[in-house]
Amino acid sequence: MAAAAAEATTDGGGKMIILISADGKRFEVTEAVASQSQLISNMIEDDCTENGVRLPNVDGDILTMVVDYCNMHAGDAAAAGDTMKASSTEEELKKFDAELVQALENPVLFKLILAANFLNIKSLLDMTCQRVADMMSGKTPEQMRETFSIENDFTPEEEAAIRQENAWAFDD
Amino acid sequence: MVMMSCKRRKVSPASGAGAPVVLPEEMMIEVLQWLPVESVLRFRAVCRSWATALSSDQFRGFHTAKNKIKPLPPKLFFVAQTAGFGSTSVHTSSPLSRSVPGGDDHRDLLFSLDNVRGDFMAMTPTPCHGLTLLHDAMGLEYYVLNAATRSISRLPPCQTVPSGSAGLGFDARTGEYKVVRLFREIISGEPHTKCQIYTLGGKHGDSWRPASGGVPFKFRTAGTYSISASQQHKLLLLEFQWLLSLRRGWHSRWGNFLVFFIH
Repeated sequence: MAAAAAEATTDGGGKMIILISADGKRFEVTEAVASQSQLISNMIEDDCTENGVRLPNVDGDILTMVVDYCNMHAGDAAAAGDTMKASSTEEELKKFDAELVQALENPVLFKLILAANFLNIKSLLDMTCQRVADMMSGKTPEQMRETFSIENDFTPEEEAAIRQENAWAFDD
Repeated sequence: MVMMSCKRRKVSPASGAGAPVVLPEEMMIEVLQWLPVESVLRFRAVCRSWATALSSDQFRGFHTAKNKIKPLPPKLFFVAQTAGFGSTSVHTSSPLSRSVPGGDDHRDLLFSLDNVRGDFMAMTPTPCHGLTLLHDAMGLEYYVLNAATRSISRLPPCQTVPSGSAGLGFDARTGEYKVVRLFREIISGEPHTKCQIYTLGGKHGDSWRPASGGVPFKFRTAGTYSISASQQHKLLLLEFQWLLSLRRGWHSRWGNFLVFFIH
């Protein structure tokens, strides 16, 4: 379903739009799928998606994931009201979401966060942020500085005071 | 062709090639909101900017919302006179809990204050960061109460005037609680609106001090109104909200805070 540059046909009555990544990959999706992005939803409303939507700050490989995510979650909205269907998709969605983020490491996750933020897809942004936070949560301040190249600008006294203040949080 | 500009840091199109991708600070804050509390506290030790960000009230608000930390069930909190009028009892009660049939009622006595008449006791309508201000209109004394720890302390005596109003505020910048009272004083036959401040914790000495600069002219009418309103209702109807200007220090002007009238 990814880099398909097929002719713009209608699929189930939905109008198709084309998303173009920074490296020129084209993704054809229905308006229903794309409008999970608040940014694109606004553009559809303003009727300015005719010639494709260029996303100069989202790479093709990241946009592939975003489009997969949106395709998967579009059924979600469509199935609303049909409880039988909705409950079965819910489980599938959870599994899909878990698999999507579990496999990713920091640099790619960060790019996905930035893309979700830029495209304004709240559920994807929340999910990716949550994943990064989960990976951070057990780390020590030293490990955090190392991972994110952060300089320790405290004086030794200041750092000791902060550690003292929150001593229970430093217990292993 | 629609081109979109992006104000945020761009992701390099040459992915996978060398340069590590870092999150811009505002996105990092977004991520940190998903951390458990102990990690948030621990990461205050990472660097100064994290310490500031992770300690802010704004972050606390976001963090609470994100982690769906359930607020404790609401509790009623009230004062009542005891049978002999000689003391006042302070209770909490949960409107959600059911009283046991045949048993005692479920209100929970926090403590009682001797020598304070309950019918002259008034308190601030909502707690301020966990603390509540009580006023004994008979003995003209103020108390600050922490319902969670069941502790209460009597503030040092202040200039006793029959007409006054007071509020409790929290200065997030310094982490200090302050009690502010407005009252009228007759000086050479003319009524004057005065303001005094008491900082809890005694860092500024254990006494009331006048607000620097006095009461600005534009607040005088409001101040007078609040004093007479509080007399009519025997209640402290004033809430103070500190409107802190980061550019100017707290002590510099009275104009830094705004007085809200609840009634």
